[in-house]
Amino acid sequence: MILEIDRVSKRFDNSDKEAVNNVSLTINEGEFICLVGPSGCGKSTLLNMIAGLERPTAGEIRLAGEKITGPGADRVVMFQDAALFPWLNVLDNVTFGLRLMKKDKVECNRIAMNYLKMVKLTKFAHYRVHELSGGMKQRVALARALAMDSAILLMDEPFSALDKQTINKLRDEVAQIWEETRKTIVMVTHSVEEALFFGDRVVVMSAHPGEIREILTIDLPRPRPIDSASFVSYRKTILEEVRKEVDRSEQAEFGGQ
Amino acid sequence: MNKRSLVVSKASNTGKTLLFYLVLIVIWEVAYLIGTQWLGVWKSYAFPEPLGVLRAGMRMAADGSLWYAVAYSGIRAAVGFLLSAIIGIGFGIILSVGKKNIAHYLRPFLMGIQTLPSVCWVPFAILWFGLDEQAIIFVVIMGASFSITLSVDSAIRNVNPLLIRAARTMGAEGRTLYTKVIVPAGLPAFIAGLRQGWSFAWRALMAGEVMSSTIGLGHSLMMGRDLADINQVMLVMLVIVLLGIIIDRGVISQVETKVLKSRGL
Repeated sequence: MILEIDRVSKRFDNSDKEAVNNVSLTINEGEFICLVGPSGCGKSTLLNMIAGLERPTAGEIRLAGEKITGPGADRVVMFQDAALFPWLNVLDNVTFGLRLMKKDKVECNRIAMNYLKMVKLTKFAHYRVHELSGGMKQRVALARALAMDSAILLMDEPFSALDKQTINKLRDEVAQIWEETRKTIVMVTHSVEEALFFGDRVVVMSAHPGEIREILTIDLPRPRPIDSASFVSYRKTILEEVRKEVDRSEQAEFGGQ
Repeated sequence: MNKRSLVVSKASNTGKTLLFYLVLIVIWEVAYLIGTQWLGVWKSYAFPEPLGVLRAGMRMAADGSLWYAVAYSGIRAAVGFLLSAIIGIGFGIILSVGKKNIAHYLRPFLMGIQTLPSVCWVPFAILWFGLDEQAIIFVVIMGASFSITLSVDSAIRNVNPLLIRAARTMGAEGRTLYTKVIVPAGLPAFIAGLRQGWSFAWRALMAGEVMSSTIGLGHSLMMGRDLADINQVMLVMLVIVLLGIIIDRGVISQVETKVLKSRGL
Protein backbone atom coordinates (compact mmCIF):
# COMPACT_ATOMS: atom_id res chain seq x y z
CA MET A 1 0.00 0.00 0.00
CA ILE A 2 1.54 3.25 -1.13
CA LEU A 3 -1.27 5.81 -1.28
CA GLU A 4 -4.11 6.10 1.22
CA ILE A 5 -7.04 8.35 0.54
CA ASP A 6 -8.68 8.56 3.93
CA ARG A 7 -12.28 9.90 4.13
CA VAL A 8 -11.43 12.86 1.93
CA SER A 9 -13.98 15.57 1.13
CA LYS A 10 -13.63 18.75 -0.86
CA ARG A 11 -16.08 21.61 -1.10
CA PHE A 12 -15.28 24.65 -3.21
CA ASP A 13 -16.03 28.09 -1.81
CA ASN A 14 -18.65 28.89 -4.42
CA SER A 15 -20.55 25.62 -4.12
CA ASP A 16 -23.12 24.25 -1.69
CA LYS A 17 -22.31 20.61 -2.47
CA GLU A 18 -19.23 18.53 -1.91
CA ALA A 19 -17.23 18.09 -5.13
CA VAL A 20 -15.69 15.06 -3.46
CA ASN A 21 -17.59 13.51 -0.57
CA ASN A 22 -16.03 11.20 2.00
CA VAL A 23 -13.92 9.22 -0.45
CA SER A 24 -11.62 6.47 0.78
CA LEU A 25 -9.36 4.43 -1.45
CA THR A 26 -6.13 2.55 -0.98
CA ILE A 27 -3.71 2.19 -3.85
CA ASN A 28 -0.98 -0.43 -3.94
CA GLU A 29 2.50 -0.09 -5.30
CA GLY A 30 2.75 -0.83 -9.02
CA GLU A 31 -0.99 -0.58 -9.50
CA PHE A 32 -2.67 1.13 -12.43
CA ILE A 33 -5.85 2.81 -11.15
CA CYS A 34 -8.36 4.46 -13.45
CA LEU A 35 -10.99 6.92 -12.22
CA VAL A 36 -14.10 7.22 -14.41
CA GLY A 37 -17.42 8.95 -13.98
CA PRO A 38 -19.70 11.62 -15.39
CA SER A 39 -18.41 15.18 -15.55
CA GLY A 40 -18.63 16.87 -12.18
CA CYS A 41 -18.04 13.63 -10.26
CA GLY A 42 -14.89 15.06 -8.73
CA LYS A 43 -12.41 12.69 -10.37
CA SER A 44 -10.10 15.52 -11.43
CA THR A 45 -10.51 17.23 -8.07
CA LEU A 46 -9.50 13.99 -6.37
CA LEU A 47 -6.43 13.74 -8.61
CA ASN A 48 -5.52 17.36 -7.88
CA MET A 49 -5.74 16.66 -4.16
CA ILE A 50 -3.38 13.70 -4.55
CA ALA A 51 -1.06 16.01 -6.49
CA GLY A 52 -1.31 18.55 -3.66
CA LEU A 53 -2.61 21.26 -6.00
CA GLU A 54 -5.89 21.33 -4.06
CA ARG A 55 -6.36 20.85 -0.33
CA PRO A 56 -9.08 18.57 1.04
CA THR A 57 -11.64 20.28 3.27
CA ALA A 58 -11.84 17.10 5.34
CA GLY A 59 -9.85 13.90 5.65
CA GLU A 60 -6.29 13.38 4.46
CA ILE A 61 -4.23 11.68 1.82
CA ARG A 62 -1.04 9.89 2.75
CA LEU A 63 1.79 8.85 0.47
CA ALA A 64 3.88 6.09 2.04
CA GLY A 65 2.47 7.12 5.40
CA GLU A 66 3.28 10.83 5.00
CA LYS A 67 0.40 13.30 4.89
CA ILE A 68 0.24 15.27 1.62
CA THR A 69 0.27 19.02 2.24
CA GLY A 70 1.34 20.43 -1.12
CA PRO A 71 2.65 19.56 -4.55
CA GLY A 72 5.92 17.67 -4.80
CA ALA A 73 8.22 15.86 -7.16
CA ASP A 74 7.12 12.49 -5.74
CA ARG A 75 3.72 12.94 -7.44
CA VAL A 76 4.28 14.20 -10.97
CA VAL A 77 1.19 15.07 -13.01
CA MET A 78 0.63 14.64 -16.71
CA PHE A 79 -2.12 17.01 -17.82
CA GLN A 80 -4.62 17.00 -20.65
CA ASP A 81 -2.53 19.72 -22.24
CA ALA A 82 1.17 18.82 -22.46
CA ALA A 83 2.08 21.97 -20.47
CA LEU A 84 5.60 22.05 -21.90
CA PHE A 85 7.71 25.18 -21.45
CA PRO A 86 7.88 26.98 -24.82
CA TRP A 87 11.18 28.72 -24.01
CA LEU A 88 13.00 25.40 -23.63
CA ASN A 89 13.78 22.72 -26.20
CA VAL A 90 12.54 19.14 -25.85
CA LEU A 91 15.59 17.88 -23.93
CA ASP A 92 15.57 20.82 -21.48
CA ASN A 93 11.86 20.30 -20.90
CA VAL A 94 12.48 16.68 -19.93
CA THR A 95 15.39 17.60 -17.65
CA PHE A 96 13.48 20.50 -16.01
CA GLY A 97 12.44 18.62 -12.87
CA LEU A 98 15.70 16.68 -12.66
CA ARG A 99 17.68 19.92 -12.71
CA LEU A 100 15.56 21.21 -9.82
CA MET A 101 16.77 18.21 -7.82
CA LYS A 102 20.26 19.66 -8.35
CA LYS A 103 21.42 16.70 -10.31
CA ASP A 104 24.51 16.95 -12.47
CA LYS A 105 23.72 18.18 -15.98
CA VAL A 106 25.35 15.30 -17.83
CA GLU A 107 23.48 12.83 -15.66
CA CYS A 108 20.19 14.68 -16.29
CA ASN A 109 20.71 14.58 -20.02
CA ARG A 110 21.53 10.88 -19.91
CA ILE A 111 18.33 10.10 -18.00
CA ALA A 112 16.29 12.36 -20.28
CA MET A 113 17.65 10.77 -23.45
CA ASN A 114 16.80 7.36 -22.03
CA TYR A 115 13.14 8.34 -21.60
CA LEU A 116 13.03 10.19 -24.91
CA LYS A 117 14.14 6.91 -26.45
CA MET A 118 11.26 5.18 -24.68
CA VAL A 119 8.76 7.57 -26.29
CA LYS A 120 10.66 7.42 -29.60
CA LEU A 121 11.65 11.07 -29.72
CA THR A 122 15.46 11.01 -29.45
CA LYS A 123 15.74 12.62 -32.89
CA PHE A 124 13.72 15.57 -31.64
CA ALA A 125 15.74 16.28 -28.49
CA HIS A 126 16.85 19.67 -29.74
CA TYR A 127 13.59 20.71 -31.35
CA ARG A 128 11.57 23.60 -30.01
CA VAL A 129 8.20 22.79 -28.49
CA HIS A 130 6.26 24.67 -31.18
CA GLU A 131 7.82 22.46 -33.85
CA LEU A 132 6.11 19.34 -32.47
CA SER A 133 2.67 17.89 -33.19
CA GLY A 134 0.09 17.46 -30.43
CA GLY A 135 0.88 13.77 -30.03
CA MET A 136 4.62 14.41 -29.89
CA LYS A 137 4.12 17.10 -27.25
CA GLN A 138 2.15 14.69 -25.10
CA ARG A 139 4.91 12.09 -25.51
CA VAL A 140 7.47 14.67 -24.34
CA ALA A 141 5.21 15.33 -21.35
CA LEU A 142 5.18 11.59 -20.67
CA ALA A 143 8.97 11.39 -20.90
CA ARG A 144 9.25 14.41 -18.59
CA ALA A 145 6.94 12.77 -16.05
CA LEU A 146 8.70 9.39 -16.25
CA ALA A 147 12.15 10.97 -15.95
CA MET A 148 11.22 12.29 -12.51
CA ASP A 149 10.91 8.66 -11.37
CA SER A 150 8.28 9.75 -8.87
CA ALA A 151 6.68 7.37 -6.38
CA ILE A 152 3.38 7.81 -8.16
CA LEU A 153 2.43 9.14 -11.57
CA LEU A 154 -0.83 11.06 -11.96
CA MET A 155 -2.53 11.45 -15.33
CA ASP A 156 -5.43 13.83 -15.88
CA GLU A 157 -7.16 12.79 -19.13
CA PRO A 158 -3.79 12.69 -20.88
CA PHE A 159 -5.16 11.67 -24.29
CA SER A 160 -8.39 13.64 -24.53
CA ALA A 161 -6.96 16.52 -26.56
CA LEU A 162 -5.59 14.24 -29.29
CA ASP A 163 -7.03 12.73 -32.46
CA LYS A 164 -8.19 9.11 -32.63
CA GLN A 165 -5.17 7.65 -34.46
CA THR A 166 -2.73 9.35 -32.12
CA ILE A 167 -4.71 8.20 -29.09
CA ASN A 168 -4.56 4.53 -30.15
CA LYS A 169 -0.84 4.68 -30.82
CA LEU A 170 -0.06 6.52 -27.62
CA ARG A 171 -2.20 4.16 -25.52
CA ASP A 172 -0.24 1.18 -26.80
CA GLU A 173 3.00 2.96 -26.02
CA VAL A 174 1.91 3.91 -22.50
CA ALA A 175 0.71 0.34 -21.86
CA GLN A 176 4.06 -1.01 -23.03
CA ILE A 177 6.03 1.49 -20.97
CA TRP A 178 3.94 0.64 -17.92
CA GLU A 179 4.68 -3.09 -18.43
CA GLU A 180 8.38 -2.21 -18.49
CA THR A 181 8.46 0.20 -15.56
CA ARG A 182 5.50 -0.98 -13.42
CA LYS A 183 4.99 2.49 -12.02
CA THR A 184 2.08 3.28 -9.75
CA ILE A 185 -0.29 5.26 -11.93
CA VAL A 186 -3.58 7.01 -11.18
CA MET A 187 -5.33 8.05 -14.35
CA VAL A 188 -8.46 10.13 -14.69
CA THR A 189 -10.38 9.48 -17.88
CA HIS A 190 -13.85 9.98 -19.27
CA SER A 191 -13.38 6.99 -21.59
CA VAL A 192 -14.55 3.67 -20.18
CA GLU A 193 -12.64 1.92 -22.94
CA GLU A 194 -9.44 3.63 -21.81
CA ALA A 195 -10.08 2.70 -18.19
CA LEU A 196 -10.55 -0.95 -19.13
CA PHE A 197 -7.53 -0.91 -21.37
CA PHE A 198 -5.21 0.29 -18.61
CA GLY A 199 -6.72 -0.31 -15.20
CA ASP A 200 -5.91 -3.02 -12.70
CA ARG A 201 -8.87 -1.53 -10.91
CA VAL A 202 -11.45 0.88 -12.27
CA VAL A 203 -13.04 3.29 -9.82
CA VAL A 204 -16.50 4.41 -10.95
CA MET A 205 -17.55 7.71 -9.40
CA SER A 206 -20.87 9.51 -9.21
CA ALA A 207 -21.63 13.20 -9.21
CA HIS A 208 -23.45 15.61 -6.84
CA PRO A 209 -21.85 14.86 -4.50
CA GLY A 210 -18.73 13.17 -5.91
CA GLU A 211 -18.55 9.72 -4.40
CA ILE A 212 -17.13 6.32 -5.24
CA ARG A 213 -19.95 4.19 -6.65
CA GLU A 214 -18.07 1.01 -7.37
CA ILE A 215 -14.55 -0.37 -7.61
CA LEU A 216 -14.07 -3.05 -10.26
CA THR A 217 -11.05 -5.30 -10.46
CA ILE A 218 -10.23 -6.01 -14.07
CA ASP A 219 -8.85 -9.52 -14.58
CA LEU A 220 -8.06 -9.28 -18.24
CA PRO A 221 -4.67 -10.48 -19.48
CA ARG A 222 -2.41 -7.83 -20.96
CA PRO A 223 -2.03 -6.55 -23.58
CA ARG A 224 -5.77 -6.10 -23.83
CA PRO A 225 -7.16 -6.07 -27.35
CA ILE A 226 -10.15 -3.75 -27.22
CA ASP A 227 -12.19 -5.94 -29.59
CA SER A 228 -11.94 -9.21 -27.61
CA ALA A 229 -15.21 -10.68 -26.30
CA SER A 230 -14.34 -10.34 -22.62
CA PHE A 231 -13.24 -6.73 -23.10
CA VAL A 232 -16.51 -5.89 -24.81
CA SER A 233 -18.61 -7.49 -22.08
CA TYR A 234 -16.66 -5.68 -19.35
CA ARG A 235 -17.13 -2.44 -21.18
CA LYS A 236 -20.87 -3.01 -21.35
CA THR A 237 -21.09 -3.53 -17.59
CA ILE A 238 -19.16 -0.40 -16.77
CA LEU A 239 -20.86 1.73 -19.40
CA GLU A 240 -24.21 0.80 -17.88
CA GLU A 241 -22.91 1.69 -14.46
CA VAL A 242 -21.66 5.07 -15.66
CA ARG A 243 -24.84 5.75 -17.63
CA LYS A 244 -26.89 5.13 -14.49
CA GLU A 245 -24.69 7.63 -12.69
CA VAL A 246 -25.04 10.21 -15.44
CA ASP A 247 -28.84 9.80 -15.38
CA ARG A 248 -28.92 9.99 -11.62
CA SER A 249 -26.76 13.12 -11.47
CA GLU A 250 -28.82 14.76 -14.19
CA GLN A 251 -31.89 13.92 -12.21
CA ALA A 252 -30.34 15.54 -9.18
CA GLU A 253 -29.29 18.60 -11.14
CA PHE A 254 -32.36 19.23 -13.27
CA GLY A 255 -34.79 17.21 -11.12
CA GLY A 256 -38.52 17.84 -11.72
CA GLN A 257 -38.05 19.86 -14.91
CA MET B 1 7.59 32.71 -55.01
CA ASN B 2 11.24 31.74 -54.69
CA LYS B 3 13.72 33.38 -52.36
CA ARG B 4 15.37 35.48 -55.03
CA SER B 5 12.22 37.09 -56.37
CA LEU B 6 11.23 37.72 -52.77
CA VAL B 7 14.44 39.67 -52.21
CA VAL B 8 13.95 41.57 -55.46
CA SER B 9 10.36 42.49 -54.64
CA LYS B 10 11.44 43.60 -51.16
CA ALA B 11 14.11 45.83 -52.67
CA SER B 12 11.72 47.31 -55.19
CA ASN B 13 9.24 47.92 -52.36
CA THR B 14 11.86 49.93 -50.49
CA GLY B 15 12.57 51.79 -53.70
CA LYS B 16 8.90 52.63 -54.14
CA THR B 17 8.66 53.83 -50.55
CA LEU B 18 11.68 56.08 -51.02
CA LEU B 19 10.23 57.44 -54.24
CA PHE B 20 6.93 58.14 -52.48
CA TYR B 21 8.65 60.24 -49.83
CA LEU B 22 10.81 61.99 -52.39
CA VAL B 23 7.68 63.06 -54.28
CA LEU B 24 6.13 64.19 -51.01
CA ILE B 25 9.19 66.33 -50.23
CA VAL B 26 9.12 67.87 -53.73
CA ILE B 27 5.42 68.73 -53.28
CA TRP B 28 6.26 70.26 -49.89
CA GLU B 29 9.01 72.42 -51.44
CA VAL B 30 6.75 73.51 -54.31
CA ALA B 31 3.94 74.34 -51.88
CA TYR B 32 6.39 76.41 -49.84
CA LEU B 33 7.56 78.32 -52.91
CA ILE B 34 4.01 78.98 -54.12
CA GLY B 35 2.79 80.06 -50.69
CA THR B 36 5.69 82.30 -49.67
CA GLN B 37 7.25 83.58 -52.91
CA TRP B 38 4.52 83.74 -55.55
CA LEU B 39 1.34 84.29 -53.59
CA GLY B 40 2.98 85.76 -50.52
CA VAL B 41 0.24 84.42 -48.19
CA TRP B 42 2.69 82.70 -45.82
CA LYS B 43 5.53 84.29 -43.87
CA SER B 44 8.74 82.45 -44.71
CA TYR B 45 9.83 82.37 -41.02
CA ALA B 46 6.64 80.55 -40.09
CA PHE B 47 6.69 77.87 -42.77
CA PRO B 48 9.48 75.29 -42.96
CA GLU B 49 10.87 74.11 -46.28
CA PRO B 50 12.87 70.96 -47.10
CA LEU B 51 15.94 72.83 -48.32
CA GLY B 52 15.86 75.07 -45.27
CA VAL B 53 15.66 72.03 -43.00
CA LEU B 54 18.63 70.57 -44.82
CA ARG B 55 20.55 73.83 -44.39
CA ALA B 56 19.68 73.97 -40.68
CA GLY B 57 20.85 70.37 -40.34
CA MET B 58 24.19 71.06 -42.04
CA ARG B 59 24.73 74.19 -39.96
CA MET B 60 23.94 72.40 -36.67
CA ALA B 61 26.09 69.44 -37.68
CA ALA B 62 28.98 71.72 -38.60
CA ASP B 63 28.95 73.75 -35.38
CA GLY B 64 28.46 70.54 -33.39
CA SER B 65 25.29 71.64 -31.60
CA LEU B 66 23.29 68.83 -33.18
CA TRP B 67 25.72 66.15 -31.94
CA TYR B 68 25.83 67.62 -28.45
CA ALA B 69 22.05 67.73 -28.31
CA VAL B 70 21.77 64.12 -29.52
CA ALA B 71 24.44 62.93 -27.09
CA TYR B 72 22.96 64.68 -24.05
CA SER B 73 19.43 63.59 -24.85
CA GLY B 74 20.65 60.07 -25.59
CA ILE B 75 22.44 59.75 -22.25
CA ARG B 76 19.41 61.12 -20.37
CA ALA B 77 17.12 58.75 -22.26
CA ALA B 78 19.36 55.78 -21.45
CA VAL B 79 19.67 56.66 -17.77
CA GLY B 80 16.00 57.56 -17.40
CA PHE B 81 14.77 54.47 -19.23
CA LEU B 82 17.12 52.18 -17.32
CA LEU B 83 15.98 53.58 -13.97
CA SER B 84 12.34 53.38 -15.10
CA ALA B 85 12.86 49.75 -16.12
CA ILE B 86 14.45 48.85 -12.78
CA ILE B 87 11.77 50.66 -10.78
CA GLY B 88 8.96 49.41 -13.04
CA ILE B 89 10.05 45.76 -12.98
CA GLY B 90 10.66 45.91 -9.23
CA PHE B 91 7.26 47.39 -8.43
CA GLY B 92 5.58 45.16 -11.03
CA ILE B 93 6.92 42.07 -9.27
CA ILE B 94 5.99 43.41 -5.83
CA LEU B 95 2.50 44.25 -7.08
CA SER B 96 1.92 40.80 -8.56
CA VAL B 97 3.19 38.81 -5.59
CA GLY B 98 2.12 41.23 -2.87
CA LYS B 99 -1.00 41.12 -0.79
CA LYS B 100 -3.92 40.56 -3.14
CA ASN B 101 -6.17 43.21 -1.59
CA ILE B 102 -3.58 45.98 -1.56
CA ALA B 103 -2.56 45.25 -5.15
CA HIS B 104 -6.22 45.22 -6.12
CA TYR B 105 -6.77 48.71 -4.68
CA LEU B 106 -3.46 50.01 -6.02
CA ARG B 107 -3.96 49.08 -9.69
CA PRO B 108 -6.62 51.68 -10.59
CA PHE B 109 -4.49 54.33 -8.87
CA LEU B 110 -1.44 53.39 -10.93
CA MET B 111 -3.52 53.33 -14.11
CA GLY B 112 -4.71 56.80 -13.24
CA ILE B 113 -1.19 58.14 -12.77
CA GLN B 114 -0.14 56.46 -15.96
CA THR B 115 -2.72 58.38 -18.00
CA LEU B 116 -1.34 61.67 -16.65
CA PRO B 117 0.70 63.30 -19.46
CA SER B 118 4.31 63.38 -18.31
CA VAL B 119 4.58 67.15 -18.90
CA CYS B 120 2.30 67.52 -15.87
CA TRP B 121 5.20 66.34 -13.71
CA VAL B 122 7.41 69.22 -14.81
CA PRO B 123 6.20 71.80 -12.22
CA PHE B 124 6.63 69.17 -9.53
CA ALA B 125 10.12 68.33 -10.79
CA ILE B 126 11.18 71.99 -10.86
CA LEU B 127 9.93 72.61 -7.32
CA TRP B 128 11.75 69.57 -6.03
CA PHE B 129 14.98 69.61 -7.98
CA GLY B 130 15.25 72.97 -9.75
CA LEU B 131 16.00 73.22 -13.43
CA ASP B 132 18.66 70.55 -13.70
CA GLU B 133 19.36 66.98 -14.77
CA GLN B 134 17.61 65.40 -11.82
CA ALA B 135 14.39 67.19 -12.71
CA ILE B 136 14.44 65.84 -16.26
CA ILE B 137 15.26 62.29 -15.16
CA PHE B 138 12.47 62.55 -12.59
CA VAL B 139 9.99 63.47 -15.34
CA VAL B 140 11.18 60.53 -17.46
CA ILE B 141 10.81 58.10 -14.56
CA MET B 142 7.35 59.37 -13.70
CA GLY B 143 6.40 59.13 -17.36
CA ALA B 144 7.66 55.61 -18.00
CA SER B 145 7.90 53.53 -14.85
CA PHE B 146 4.17 53.23 -14.10
CA SER B 147 3.48 51.86 -17.54
CA ILE B 148 6.29 49.31 -17.08
CA THR B 149 5.03 48.44 -13.59
CA LEU B 150 1.56 47.71 -14.90
CA SER B 151 2.73 45.64 -17.82
CA VAL B 152 5.12 43.57 -15.71
CA ASP B 153 2.31 43.01 -13.21
CA SER B 154 -0.08 41.87 -15.92
CA ALA B 155 2.64 39.79 -17.62
CA ILE B 156 3.16 37.84 -14.40
CA ARG B 157 -0.53 37.48 -13.67
CA ASN B 158 -1.22 36.24 -17.20
CA VAL B 159 1.33 33.43 -17.16
CA ASN B 160 -0.51 30.25 -18.15
CA PRO B 161 -1.50 28.75 -14.77
CA LEU B 162 -1.10 25.25 -16.19
CA LEU B 163 2.65 25.84 -16.65
CA ILE B 164 2.87 26.90 -13.01
CA ARG B 165 0.91 23.85 -11.87
CA ALA B 166 3.11 21.54 -13.95
CA ALA B 167 6.26 23.12 -12.52
CA ARG B 168 4.95 22.85 -8.96
CA THR B 169 4.27 19.14 -9.33
CA MET B 170 7.89 18.77 -10.45
CA GLY B 171 9.09 20.40 -7.26
CA ALA B 172 9.43 24.07 -8.26
CA GLU B 173 8.38 26.49 -5.54
CA GLY B 174 9.08 29.96 -4.18
CA ARG B 175 11.92 31.78 -5.88
CA THR B 176 12.75 28.87 -8.18
CA LEU B 177 9.21 29.04 -9.54
CA TYR B 178 9.84 32.70 -10.35
CA THR B 179 13.25 32.40 -11.95
CA LYS B 180 12.63 29.15 -13.83
CA VAL B 181 9.00 29.51 -14.88
CA ILE B 182 7.19 32.79 -14.29
CA VAL B 183 9.91 35.14 -15.57
CA PRO B 184 10.74 33.15 -18.75
CA ALA B 185 7.03 32.56 -19.41
CA GLY B 186 6.27 36.26 -19.05
CA LEU B 187 9.30 37.40 -21.05
CA PRO B 188 7.46 38.29 -24.30
CA ALA B 189 4.97 40.43 -22.36
CA PHE B 190 7.85 41.94 -20.33
CA ILE B 191 9.57 43.07 -23.50
CA ALA B 192 6.34 44.44 -24.97
CA GLY B 193 5.94 46.42 -21.75
CA LEU B 194 9.49 47.74 -21.95
CA ARG B 195 8.89 48.75 -25.55
CA GLN B 196 5.85 50.76 -24.55
CA GLY B 197 7.83 52.12 -21.61
CA TRP B 198 10.52 53.33 -23.99
CA SER B 199 8.04 55.34 -26.03
CA PHE B 200 6.72 56.92 -22.83
CA ALA B 201 10.26 57.64 -21.63
CA TRP B 202 11.23 59.33 -24.88
CA ARG B 203 8.13 61.54 -24.88
CA ALA B 204 8.62 62.42 -21.23
CA LEU B 205 12.25 63.28 -21.87
CA MET B 206 11.31 65.74 -24.60
CA ALA B 207 8.68 67.31 -22.34
CA GLY B 208 11.31 67.72 -19.63
CA GLU B 209 13.95 69.11 -21.98
CA VAL B 210 11.61 71.64 -23.57
CA MET B 211 10.98 73.09 -20.13
CA SER B 212 14.56 73.15 -18.95
CA SER B 213 17.51 75.13 -20.22
CA THR B 214 20.16 72.43 -20.43
CA ILE B 215 21.64 71.15 -23.69
CA GLY B 216 19.48 68.59 -25.47
CA LEU B 217 17.10 68.05 -28.35
CA GLY B 218 14.15 69.55 -26.49
CA HIS B 219 16.20 72.62 -25.74
CA SER B 220 17.36 72.92 -29.38
CA LEU B 221 13.69 72.92 -30.30
CA MET B 222 13.08 75.90 -28.04
CA MET B 223 16.24 77.62 -29.34
CA GLY B 224 14.72 77.37 -32.81
CA ARG B 225 11.62 79.09 -31.53
CA ASP B 226 13.63 81.84 -29.82
CA LEU B 227 15.59 82.47 -33.01
CA ALA B 228 12.39 82.32 -35.10
CA ASP B 229 14.12 79.58 -37.10
CA ILE B 230 11.27 77.27 -38.05
CA ASN B 231 13.60 75.11 -40.13
CA GLN B 232 15.67 74.29 -37.07
CA VAL B 233 12.48 73.44 -35.17
CA MET B 234 11.43 71.13 -37.97
CA LEU B 235 14.85 69.52 -38.19
CA VAL B 236 15.01 68.80 -34.46
CA MET B 237 11.50 67.35 -34.55
CA LEU B 238 12.57 65.01 -37.35
CA VAL B 239 15.67 63.97 -35.38
CA ILE B 240 13.48 63.24 -32.32
CA VAL B 241 11.17 61.06 -34.39
CA LEU B 242 14.08 59.24 -36.03
CA LEU B 243 15.90 58.50 -32.78
CA GLY B 244 12.70 57.25 -31.16
CA ILE B 245 12.07 54.90 -34.06
CA ILE B 246 15.67 53.69 -34.24
CA ILE B 247 15.68 52.60 -30.60
CA ASP B 248 12.23 51.04 -30.90
CA ARG B 249 12.67 49.24 -34.22
CA GLY B 250 16.41 48.78 -34.22
CA VAL B 251 16.89 47.57 -30.66
CA ILE B 252 13.81 46.64 -28.63
CA SER B 253 11.73 45.20 -31.43
CA GLN B 254 14.71 43.11 -32.61
CA VAL B 255 14.96 41.47 -29.20
CA GLU B 256 11.20 41.00 -29.15
CA THR B 257 11.14 39.32 -32.56
CA LYS B 258 13.96 37.01 -31.54
CA VAL B 259 12.18 35.90 -28.37
CA LEU B 260 8.85 35.41 -30.13
CA LYS B 261 10.42 33.51 -33.01
CA SER B 262 12.19 31.07 -30.70
CA ARG B 263 8.76 30.19 -29.31
CA GLY B 264 7.07 29.94 -32.67
CA LEU B 265 4.87 32.97 -32.05
